[in-house]
Amino acid sequence: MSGAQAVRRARWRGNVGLIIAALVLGIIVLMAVAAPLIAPYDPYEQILDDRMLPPAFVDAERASPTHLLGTDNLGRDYLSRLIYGARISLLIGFFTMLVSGVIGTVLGVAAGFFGGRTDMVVSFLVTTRLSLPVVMVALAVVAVLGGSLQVVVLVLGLLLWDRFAVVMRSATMQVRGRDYVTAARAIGCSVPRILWSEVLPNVVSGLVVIASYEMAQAILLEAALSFLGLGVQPPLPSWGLMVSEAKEFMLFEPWMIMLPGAAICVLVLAINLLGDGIRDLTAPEGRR
Amino acid sequence: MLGFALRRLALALAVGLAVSAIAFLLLRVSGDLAATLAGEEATAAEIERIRGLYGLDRPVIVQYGEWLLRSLRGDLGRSLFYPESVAKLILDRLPNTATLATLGLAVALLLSIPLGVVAALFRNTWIDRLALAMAVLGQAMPSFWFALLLIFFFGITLGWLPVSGTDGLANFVLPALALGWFSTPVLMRLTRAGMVEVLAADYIRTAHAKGLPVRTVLVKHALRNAVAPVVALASVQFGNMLSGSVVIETVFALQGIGYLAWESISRRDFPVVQGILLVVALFYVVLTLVADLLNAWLDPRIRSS
Amino acid sequence: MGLFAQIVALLLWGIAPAFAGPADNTLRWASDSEPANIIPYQNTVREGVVMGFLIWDAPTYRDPTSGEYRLHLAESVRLVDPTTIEIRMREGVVAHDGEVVDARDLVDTINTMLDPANRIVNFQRVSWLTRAELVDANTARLIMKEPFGPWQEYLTNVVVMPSEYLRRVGLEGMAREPIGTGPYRVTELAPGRQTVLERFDRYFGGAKGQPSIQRLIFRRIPEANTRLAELLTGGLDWVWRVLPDQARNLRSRRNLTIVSGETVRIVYIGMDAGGRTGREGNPMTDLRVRRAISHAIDRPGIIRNLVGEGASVLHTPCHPEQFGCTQEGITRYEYDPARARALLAEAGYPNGFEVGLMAYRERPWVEAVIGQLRAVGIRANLNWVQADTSSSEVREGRVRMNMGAWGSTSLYDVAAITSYFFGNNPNDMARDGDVAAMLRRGDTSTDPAARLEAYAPAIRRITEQAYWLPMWTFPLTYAFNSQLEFRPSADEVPRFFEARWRR
Repeated sequence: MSGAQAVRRARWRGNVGLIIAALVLGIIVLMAVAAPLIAPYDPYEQILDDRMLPPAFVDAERASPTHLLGTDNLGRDYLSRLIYGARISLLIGFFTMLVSGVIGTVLGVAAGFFGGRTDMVVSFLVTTRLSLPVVMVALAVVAVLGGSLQVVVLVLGLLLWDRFAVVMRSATMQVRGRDYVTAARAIGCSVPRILWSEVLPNVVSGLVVIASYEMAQAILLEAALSFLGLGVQPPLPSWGLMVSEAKEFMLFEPWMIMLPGAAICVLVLAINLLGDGIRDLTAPEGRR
Repeated sequence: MLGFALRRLALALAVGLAVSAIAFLLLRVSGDLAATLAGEEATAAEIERIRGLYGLDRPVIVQYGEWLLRSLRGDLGRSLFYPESVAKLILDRLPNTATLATLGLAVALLLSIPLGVVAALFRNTWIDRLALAMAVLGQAMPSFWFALLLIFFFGITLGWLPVSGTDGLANFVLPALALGWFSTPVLMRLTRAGMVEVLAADYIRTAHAKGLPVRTVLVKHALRNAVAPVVALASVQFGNMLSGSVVIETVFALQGIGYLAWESISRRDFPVVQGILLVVALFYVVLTLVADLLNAWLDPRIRSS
Repeated sequence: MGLFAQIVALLLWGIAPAFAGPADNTLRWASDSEPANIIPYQNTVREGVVMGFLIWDAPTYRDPTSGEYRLHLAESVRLVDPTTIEIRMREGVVAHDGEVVDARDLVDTINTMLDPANRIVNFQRVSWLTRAELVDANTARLIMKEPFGPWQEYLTNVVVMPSEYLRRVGLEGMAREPIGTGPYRVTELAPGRQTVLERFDRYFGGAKGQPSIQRLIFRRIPEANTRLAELLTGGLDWVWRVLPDQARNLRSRRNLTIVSGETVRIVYIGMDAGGRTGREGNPMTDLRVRRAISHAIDRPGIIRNLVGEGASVLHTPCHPEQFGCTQEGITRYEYDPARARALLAEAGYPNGFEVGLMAYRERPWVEAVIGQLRAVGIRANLNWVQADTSSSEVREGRVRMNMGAWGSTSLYDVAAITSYFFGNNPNDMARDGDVAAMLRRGDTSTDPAARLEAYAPAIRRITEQAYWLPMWTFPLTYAFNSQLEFRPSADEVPRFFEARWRR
């Protein structure tokens, strides 16, 4: 097997992962967007007499034919809650990524482009941020401000920008020395213009990879916060909250923690694989 | 070297100050400290008296300075919940967290280095892909969920290991496994990348050509060079484990500082939260400072950057 | 992985902690919360009450089976006049540090706790007294503020501390290294970690009798499933507050005994009928809205599905077992969502309204209530807080609607609940002057017949005005090692000094 063949094969394999990941992610996004159309029940409607019915694949005798994935402790349809839960995870993941992406990119590009004192300040900010324990600070701030979607997004956004800054800084430094940037400077383009039209497009591929990673990170963190009771508040069906609620019944109805946990896992996996796939496609030497 | 060390030290000091300011502000914004100290049924006059007594009526910057000096002397204030000082509460629990972090790191290294080496040796085969799949899956699993699965499987179904508490070393096995698992993927990827790079290097080819045994080449030459960056990253991971164990400690009711932090947050005992935040952050600052200086001493290229 | 785990398990065999059980005459128990301060006067949590019974003693002791008041530290107790109790203390009682405990210690303890400078947290234990006086070395007089109906009940909660030690180390020192006269002494007190008690060999016995189990180890484990996991794997011998679902599944396990015990604990929904959060646009001040809420909640349904066997629907602002809690002539509200919607429309809320609901325990029950309110159009937003935050917010008049539970500090008297919540004090959300006056008349009388007569109309009016929605009474479920002889008592205080291992 020659080197070129190996690279091709590796790329092709990477693409299979990419395609599957994109497909899975697409389905989850579709589910979240069209939740009211797809969900078989109102996720908040409780029928106490029908509580904790297992799905058919767990216990065919006790299962109900109308609740595909069973019901929770209050007799709410588990599938419907999972479908609506996708909304929370995706919303938090996406907006956190946006907030942290903007902060990190601005700081990283500024540090890389201007260097010197700006660089020092940014590296000070990054080091400070890194020395703060994320989960602890997020918990404390949410405890003070109260748990809501907006608060969680803002807190996580303010805590997860460091990787953006580091990667954008080095990417910008590399681009800065290139001919087209020097040329643009020579013809007297303004700095913001150069940053926007010359530097940014050249660092975007690195950005996509970090963005996917941070989005996955935010989804995991929201789940952890909700699990600890300091994320979004019930009866909102967050997947982390669902694991937390099902924990009480873990010993006897383990399927209840399996389903939302697996849902988080699949979503994060899809996002990570998508990021990896894009990196493999854009990086010239392919997967190593 | 001295110039680099001084610059790095200055950065560490600045970061330490910034972190202490953040910890100080956290307690300030959490509510009216004077009212909390005065208790539920205190009158307005009593609250004012306490405000004066504790110097809470002075400019914030003065209060910060005093608090910083006191903290440097090890006086982190008193818990609002327990009749104890914050420093004692933290010191009581620090050994548990340190044990957990050490064992967690050991688990991570024991899993990631062999896996990474094997993956590099059998590059692009099913073994490589299996290792990679494990890494990807490991990164995607929510830690609390994985921990619950461990409890369910090893604690309940098999009944092999205790599921909570800190009575003996056995109590640390499951938490360490859960904690170490999450550092494994990144360490494994780094080991693999390092090995791939080193294996392609000239001196390894030379060693092979000289007919040295494969094991000698691998262990004496390749691994030693490939593992250097892993050790650097591992020290950062260790810092993260000391603070990032909130979730794991909570699930296993393991009495470390992460668990103390979570409990204190949920009962709004913010002096304790503040103390833990400060200790953890400063620990991280010192740890990275030492790691950086050590690296620079070992590798002259870093000093100039 | 299987092989690896087996090796690990083998390696750990040697270092695994000795499991509890009859072998070393140790009882390991756990609960979801713990007292921050172990002094019974300084905490209000149930585990603190339990510890109080183990470490300290009061002049009298109420036998949990017969309900009789028996002499314990006291040799005799008599009412000299309606506001003076004379207590003659038993001779020869020693504390864990060897100090002799007599009437002086009783007097000093009470006066210390009454001193406002000491900021006693659980002031209810002594607030009915003004002071204590020493008559002679063995006799003390306790002076009440005014005639107090349930004084016998409250006297069982006045635990005595060795005063010489207390003076030497102060309340803080006592909290760190507690010394009492009780059947068990503290040998390790690690807040948040564990509390170890050892049998006190010089215990005088009294009404509590001599303890059998050598060592009691308490751990706080907040997670219910972790507690059960520990119980199933032998790390714990005794847990309580087992949920009905869990109890059902645990019953099939050998080696475990599951029993339920009655309690005086009740669950209620409080409403801001007094309008302390503002009268403008406050639906809670409208009787029709309060009645609508009372009809909207399917209490039998929640009990059947979530609360479990042994619980029953409650219609009064007190437990039927409590003295003075009449069940006659009260207004009952049946589950009737259509009627609830009609009442809301009549009150001017045809589309319901939004309201905050503060709660702190038994989350599934609270969420079930939220779901049922939703069904009649009331959108209740959950405000989940810690227990102490909930009570302080209520006291400050910032709560429009809340759901909570009340165990009456195990006191079998209406004074410990109805007067506590409707006596025109900070906890009173209804602020009905007539009700408060009637309750006060009952509280300040020492004649049982007169008390009953005073309380009945107050209770009737509270139900008629739907100030509270009393929800249900519920049993407490215990799960423990089958080799343990343990009998739950209705006052929610496990008597570990009466428990023993069968060998």
